[in-house]
This record gives sequence, C-alpha cells and structure tokens, in this order.
Amino acid sequence: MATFAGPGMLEASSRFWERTMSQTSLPPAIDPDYLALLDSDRISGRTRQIMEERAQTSDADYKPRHLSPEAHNVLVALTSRVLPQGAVLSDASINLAARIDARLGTAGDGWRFASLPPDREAYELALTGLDTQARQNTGKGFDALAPGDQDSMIHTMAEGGLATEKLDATQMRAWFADLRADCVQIFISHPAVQAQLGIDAIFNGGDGFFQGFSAMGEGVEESWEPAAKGIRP
Amino acid sequence: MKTRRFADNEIVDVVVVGTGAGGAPLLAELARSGMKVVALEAGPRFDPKQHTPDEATASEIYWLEERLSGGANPMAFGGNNSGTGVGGSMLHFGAFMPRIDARDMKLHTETGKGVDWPFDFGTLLPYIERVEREIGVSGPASYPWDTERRYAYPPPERNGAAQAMARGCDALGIRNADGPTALITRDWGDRKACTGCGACHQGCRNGAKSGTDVTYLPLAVSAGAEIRPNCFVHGIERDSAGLVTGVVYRENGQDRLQRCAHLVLAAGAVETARLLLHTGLANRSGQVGRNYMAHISTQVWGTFDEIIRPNKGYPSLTITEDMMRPANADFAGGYLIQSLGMMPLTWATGVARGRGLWGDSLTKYLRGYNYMAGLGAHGDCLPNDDNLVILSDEKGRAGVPKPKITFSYGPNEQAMHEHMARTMTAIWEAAGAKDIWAMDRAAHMIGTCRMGSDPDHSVVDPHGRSHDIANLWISDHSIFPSATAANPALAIMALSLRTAEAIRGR
Repeated sequence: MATFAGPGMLEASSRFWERTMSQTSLPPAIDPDYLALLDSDRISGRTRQIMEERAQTSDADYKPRHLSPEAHNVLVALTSRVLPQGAVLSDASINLAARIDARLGTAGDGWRFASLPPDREAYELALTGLDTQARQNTGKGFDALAPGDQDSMIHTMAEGGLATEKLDATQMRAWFADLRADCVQIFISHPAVQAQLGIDAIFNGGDGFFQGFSAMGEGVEESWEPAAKGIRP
Repeated sequence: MKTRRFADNEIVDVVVVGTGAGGAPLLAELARSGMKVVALEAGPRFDPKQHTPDEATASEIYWLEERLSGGANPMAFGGNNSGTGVGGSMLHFGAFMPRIDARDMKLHTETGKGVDWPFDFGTLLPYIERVEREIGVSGPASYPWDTERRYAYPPPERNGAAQAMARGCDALGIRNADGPTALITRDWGDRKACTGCGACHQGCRNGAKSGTDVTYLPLAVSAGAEIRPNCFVHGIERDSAGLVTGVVYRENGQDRLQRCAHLVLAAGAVETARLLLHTGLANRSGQVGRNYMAHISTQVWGTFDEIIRPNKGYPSLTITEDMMRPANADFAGGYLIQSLGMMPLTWATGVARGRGLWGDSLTKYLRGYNYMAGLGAHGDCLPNDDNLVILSDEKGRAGVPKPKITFSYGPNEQAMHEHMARTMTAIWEAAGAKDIWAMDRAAHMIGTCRMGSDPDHSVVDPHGRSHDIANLWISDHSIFPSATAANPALAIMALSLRTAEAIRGR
C-alpha cells in the first residue's frame, strides 16, 4: 500500500477542495445536504476521494471477472434476497454481486474458515451448488425461482440444512455467514447509504482542522449533523 | 522518523522482528543503552495524517495475509487483532489499557486450572507504571478497584454508550468508572489531545493514541535504532554451535540476510509461532504453537430511544471490574466489561455474522445504526490441548506456509460467555435498551510460546529467552502463560522493557 506523504499529496488534496461531489456521483443519488458535507472541511481529502470513487463506480453492465457467468447470475438473485435495498435506497440499488466479484480479486480480510476453500473457489462452489439444488428440487435455476421459494432455500442454508454437491451443509452455513458480511460491508460503506442512514463517521475531521467530535452523548446532536431520512428503528 | 540503514553484513547487536507493543519498547531501551539495533517490520510506514475513517480502506493497517481459522469457535483475524506497518497492531488497537488483575497471574494456585505465571504481579508492576508514564495514559482521578493508582491525563468525554453503561450499572449497584485509555487528553510535544473522532481502530491521525508509532519508536530512532519497513522475515541462520547468526528476510522481492548477535521475535502469537514452526527452531519442548488462547469477548447490543451515534467519541470508555471474581460464577477467572461505540462497517459485520439476520429484517436493523450502543467483555481463557497454531499445507508470503489456528471453547469458556451475556443483558435492560441481543465472539491472540522455568514444558524462560538457543528471545503475547482478562498491550510492553534489561545485562 502506498503512503501519501510528500508534496504530491498536498497538491492533490488542494484540488479536492475545488471539486464538488454533486457534479460527479452516479445513482443511487446522494442527498444534497449530505453532498454538502462531503464537500465540507469536516472530511479529509483522502477520505473524500475514496467516497467519490465509490460513488462513481459504474457497475450497470458489469461482467464477472472472478466468478463464472452462471455463478454470477445466482449471486445477483441471492444478494437481492439477502440484503434487499428498497427500505434504504429508493431510486437505485448498489450492485452487490458486481462488487463482491470484484472483491474476490483482492487480498481479502486476513482470514477464512479453515473448513472452506479459498474465497473465490468457495463462492463458485456454493453458488453453482445452490443452483444445482434448485434445479434438482424444482426443475428451475435459483434465479428463476419465485422470491418465496428462494427465501425458503436460503432459510434452510442458514439453518445448516442445505448440502450441495461439493460443499456440505455445515460448509454452506459458514459460507453464508461470509456472504452476509460481504453484502453489509459493501452496502454500508457506500456514501448514498450513509447519507440515507444519517451516519457521520467520515466527517470526523478535515486536513486543515481536525475537528473530531465535541458534543456527544445520549440524545446529543449538533446542528450540522446529517439526519436519517425518515428512518427510526 | 528518518532512520539510518546498517549494512546487511554488519553484525548488529540485536535484530527485532516487529515494531508493535512487543518490539518497540525493547528497541528503544536497547538503542538508548548504546546497542546497534535494527527492527524489521513486515508492513509499510504509514503517514498518520492519511489514516482514514473509511473502514474498508483502513484495512490497509490490518494483517491481511490469509490465515485459516478452524475449531468450534473459529476466530476472525485481520481487523479483530492483527495489524501491520511501523507501529504494529497498536496502529489499530482500541487503546483500552486496563492493568492485569494480580489474581489472574496465579489462577492455578487459586483454582487448580490453567498455569501460574513464573512471577507475580508485583514483579511486573514497576514496568507497567513506567509504560503508562512513558506513553501517556488517561484515567479517572480515583480508580474504584485500586484507589492508589494515578493517571497522568484526565479521561476523554463520555459518548452515548459510555453514559448508558454507567446508568445501567448504577441501577444494578455495579461499580463503574471511566476506564484507563492509552490516549492523551492534553497536547504533549508533537502529539495532540484526543478530539473524540471515534476512529481509533482505523488509525489515529493526530498522535493522541499512545501507540508505539508515536511513543517508543521515535525514541528508538532518536537513540540510533534503525526501523526497516516492508521486510518479511522467513528464515533464521545459525552457526555450528546452534546460535543465531542472522535472519533472512524478503524486501522488494529479494531475499537478504541481516547478521546479528541477538534475535528478538516480536511478531505476535500467530506469526512468531509460525516462524519458529517453519524454521523448526526453539521447540525442544514441543510447545511452540500450543496453549493458544484468546479473550472471551462476548458483546451485547441494544437499541435506544435517544440518538446515540455510536461512531462518536472514544469508543469504549466506561469500565467495570466487578466481574473479575463474580459471586455466582460457575467458572475459573473473571472478566471486564466496557461500553462499546462502533464504526458502521464493523458493527454491520457483527450484525450479519453474529445475529444471523438476512432479508428485510437485516436491512431494517441496519437502518437503526445511529440508535445502537453495545457492551463488550474480555474474559480469561484456559489453555486446552486442542487449541493451537500449526502450519497449513498452503503456501503464503515468501513461501512460508499459511498458519492454521484452531480454537474451541471448553466448558469454562462457555460458562463465562453465558455469564457475560446474562450480566450485560441485565445492564442494558436497566439502561432502557430495547431489542437486546448477544454476540458470541473471541478476540486477541495469546499463548503459543509459553514462558516458564521448566524447559520441558515451556518455550522461553521467565525473561523471554529461548530455553534452547541462548541468543534468541521472544517479546510478545505468545509468551503469556495465561490469557488474563486484561487487554494485552500494556503487559506486552511491560514485559518488553523487562526483557530489554535481561538482554542488556548479558
């Protein structure tokens, strides 16, 4: 990982102050108040750049690079049941399947279940295995099942009752935990989701002035902090 | 921190592998005594100003080389406990800095379970006090469980989780206080006071957190030590008498040899054991990789009526030590409880893995992030023959096999987990939380190169020196004979200073 010391970074940082995210991000849309915070001095240049790249990632016509097309199709159907996005994002959804496939080409998170093969292989085997099970049970691929039937298979997998050709039921349950983690990590890291949830974790201080947080505690809010958009647990 | 570079063929006095809590204090101490010392760090040197609260990107400070995690309670590595870069795991550690409870070092004497440390807490205390003074630790004016103790800095501000825990404990008659935290709340030299940014685990941007990157490492460099980043040690050279003569490390794809008179391994309980198993050294006892322990780190989460914003402020300020020997315990040892704020990705991962939600119920639960607060425990863990680190048959970095870690709770750990979940649920109910749930979790890596007096049953002696190789030392949590309930960084640093004295004295 490169570090960003030196005069080059200072020049890069100063350029970010001049550009606004509102001109550049793709759907799902980010609320204007939140965009203003992304353009404010409460966020560092590097973090703004990370958020900008994430918001600009276009995966509308994504072609899988690490999974087979068959496995990828199952993943698209599965992620829409595992983490449906409509209750947070109204105009568009984040392509979780595309971003999981892209992630399968990176270093990973430092560990894997010893009971599972390496991540890419585990995904491929689990997804194609799920598809084969669906075909054996119903004559249809997983992605062609009605949502209720998909949920029924997912429920069985989560409970450790779904064995497939290459991965047994315990392995499938472990893999499903990995899948859930990958889904929520990609989802909650997206600035459009953080905007909808009113999360201000990335506005913890800028480069020029490192504000941190001063007013804190139960029921304490500052006037600049982003409100959740019509959401209350 | 500009440092010199010793020539590979120069025989330096000491090579230290790792720059975290185990390596850095000793590096500074030996450099100050005039020894020629080099630290080989597997990770890069980060610019603290470029640390980012974006958790996905901040994983650059975690040890991301894949480990295989097995057993009935497989542990998460990476961000859960294993760091990389100049500063080691203290770059991402949570800065919670309780002292070991003296009883935890004599658990076998007390209960017949586990093993005792080869010395008592009184031996360690002067080093602990020195570390606290030298790095900067904040804490309350009067610590309820040790009223003689003093901290140099007042505690940081309480966030929502800390307030809720204090309220819940007060309602139940459980003593509580602001916990000891390894951060400064007033400017000190180039270091700035904590701003409550909440991103301790993603790297401290202003030097408030008292990691080795802003404490012992600058001291070491100013005293003439060299820190050599991006160097992964994978071999140990010896002479015909069996003494270490140098280490083989990979830098920019090239293997190099640094000659040395002493070698200190400070790479952590997994990597230190991995290197010794790979080289086959210092294992006459057969104990390398064995006695792997972790902290039983159950969490309880709940939803509050008022907004919490769990990302704000120092994450885990309130502490209680009242459960160190609870009256109704059905287990040996005890545990600490701390309040938990948490950054969104870490929290969501816990929800997805630990609560098992999926579908609409998962999305709806994630929406409530700003109203969540948690409690977290750290409890002792008994050694068990089946819990260990071995080499897998998969090749990792520089051809060294990836480590496989097997970890399962025994009856003691299971009973403690259940007690933790009950106690913390009661605190959260008393604090007014709703939709309360518990997450089964273990954290920190301890054991694998046990310290002891008997060469047949331990890897290093009570000063950290190998029983088998006279100029090989270990300075990290792999040498802990028992896990204790305290977060390990403070004791690792204290032992590092003690081992430095032993090396210097030779």
